[in-house]
Amino acid sequence: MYFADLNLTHFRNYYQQELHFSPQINCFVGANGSGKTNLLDALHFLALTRGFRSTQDKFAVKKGETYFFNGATLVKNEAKLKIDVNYLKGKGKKVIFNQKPLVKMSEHIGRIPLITILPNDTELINGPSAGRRKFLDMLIAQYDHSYLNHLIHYEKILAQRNALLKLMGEQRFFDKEQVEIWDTQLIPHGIAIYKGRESFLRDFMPYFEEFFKKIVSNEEKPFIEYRSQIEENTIDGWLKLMAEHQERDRVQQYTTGGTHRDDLNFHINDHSARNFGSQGQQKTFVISLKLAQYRLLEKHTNIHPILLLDDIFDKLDEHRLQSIANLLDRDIQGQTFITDTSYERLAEVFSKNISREVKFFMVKDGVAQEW
Amino acid sequence: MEYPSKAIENAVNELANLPGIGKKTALRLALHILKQTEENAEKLGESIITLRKNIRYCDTCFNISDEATCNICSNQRRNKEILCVVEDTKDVIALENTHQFNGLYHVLGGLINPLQGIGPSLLNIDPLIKRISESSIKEVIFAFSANIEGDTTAFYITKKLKPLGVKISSIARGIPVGLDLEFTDEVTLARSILNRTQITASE
Ligand SMILES: [Zn+2]
Repeated sequence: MYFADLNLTHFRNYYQQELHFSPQINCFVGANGSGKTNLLDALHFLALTRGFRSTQDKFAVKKGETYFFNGATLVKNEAKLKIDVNYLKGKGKKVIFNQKPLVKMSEHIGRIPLITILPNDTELINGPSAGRRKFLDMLIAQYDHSYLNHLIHYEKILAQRNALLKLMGEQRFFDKEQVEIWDTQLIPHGIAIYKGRESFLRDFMPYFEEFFKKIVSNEEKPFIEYRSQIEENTIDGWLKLMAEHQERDRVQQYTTGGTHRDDLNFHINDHSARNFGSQGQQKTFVISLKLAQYRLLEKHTNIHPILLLDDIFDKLDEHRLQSIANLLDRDIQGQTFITDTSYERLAEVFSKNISREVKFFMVKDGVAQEW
Repeated sequence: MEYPSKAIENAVNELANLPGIGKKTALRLALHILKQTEENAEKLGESIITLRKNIRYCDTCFNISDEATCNICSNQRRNKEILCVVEDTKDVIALENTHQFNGLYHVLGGLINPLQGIGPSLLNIDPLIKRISESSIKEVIFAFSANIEGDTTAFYITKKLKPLGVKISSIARGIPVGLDLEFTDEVTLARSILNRTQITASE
């Protein structure tokens, strides 16, 4: 599956643009602010009905205009499929797949498997634990519907339990019995969530390690540690935890124990990647995580997903750069889009022993040209 | 919206306070009432006033009632050993329409829901415990919505009833999560009452 072409009208800083892609590797080269990342964003819109920036659709309309039209031809098993995403200010967004307008955006999700790696993905390492839990939960829930149900139930029960603690705090009483009723409901879901995370990580690690080792040269050994307050993932273990936390819960007026406090610790050779990792190491870690995610998606969909790489080569040493280029050449079969500020850098790494077709586009002030 | 008369405006505003009624529908209803005979309009008005002023809750089961004791509680042909605990009057109506249940009811007036500020003390749970301990009730059935709040309420009452040694069961869960009892197909509901399952207190 690949995008054969892309047509933009009034999308971000593009007035009108038509591009024809290689089914293999496509590089968008330009200065910061030239519009190279906007091309990835347009592809993201076509694959997932929304951009990868968490802004409203109206901000994707070129200044001074009232609409944007994005169109593309998707080739799947030799068949040509047409996708259009049209947005009109005040009217909203319309996604048309093969001449049929979507009734619900969710119909389209999953049709075009796609993975993005963005510069701020290093937030996964440096940011708060909620981001890591979300990354993990989304990975698991995508393939495990019952895990998603447990997660939803756990969140609902937790919200009620927290509301109860707050209510009792405000009314200055504490009814152990009521709290424990919520515990009995929370625990079965918590047990399932812990189990889901633990077993997923066990399956995920080999994919992750494989990519990491392909990128680094030396004996760097990465490790993902699953951290949880749960010492014994049984009803008894959970009851003990909830009992131990009851007094703290009462004082703080929210639930302090459970899988909602889980975290992932990323290590390189027994050092925390967060505290001790260089920028290059952190980037390598995140790229490996995302490529492992790519591999899982590929396994589950039986399609080579499309890969969007935004500015990932920046601040990487030559060795890592070349390793990633080789990896994109040999280990990734899906259509790949890369943005970078330096033509020389890309031309250099993609000139050595590369078997896939690499197509370059030069981007300047909202105009992209095939090189 | 601008209205040609203050009387219309008042009527529209009052009607629009009803659930599921927007200003447009309210205006349509107001204009419709205006076209009726004076007698018909008075009947409508009076029925609303009577509803509010004369209807009360049954002292025993808290169902809506004309008298101090409702006609289910006072019906001698009903089985006084089985009690069905429900959230709301609308659940009593739904269950009665199945014609499969011949016991008595107890209306809680809601489910335990801390997010909405509802704790057990705001519900008719204490009167329920008192009622069971003082009567010939041998079996209690919970017929709550299949959701977290329904489960919590059932667990809570189950715990409270434990010392009384009554048989406790819950209607079988053929009902999808998130679906209110009033929307359940009456046949499914009847079957689930008949196939009620034993639930155990979590201790
Ligand atoms: Zn009654």
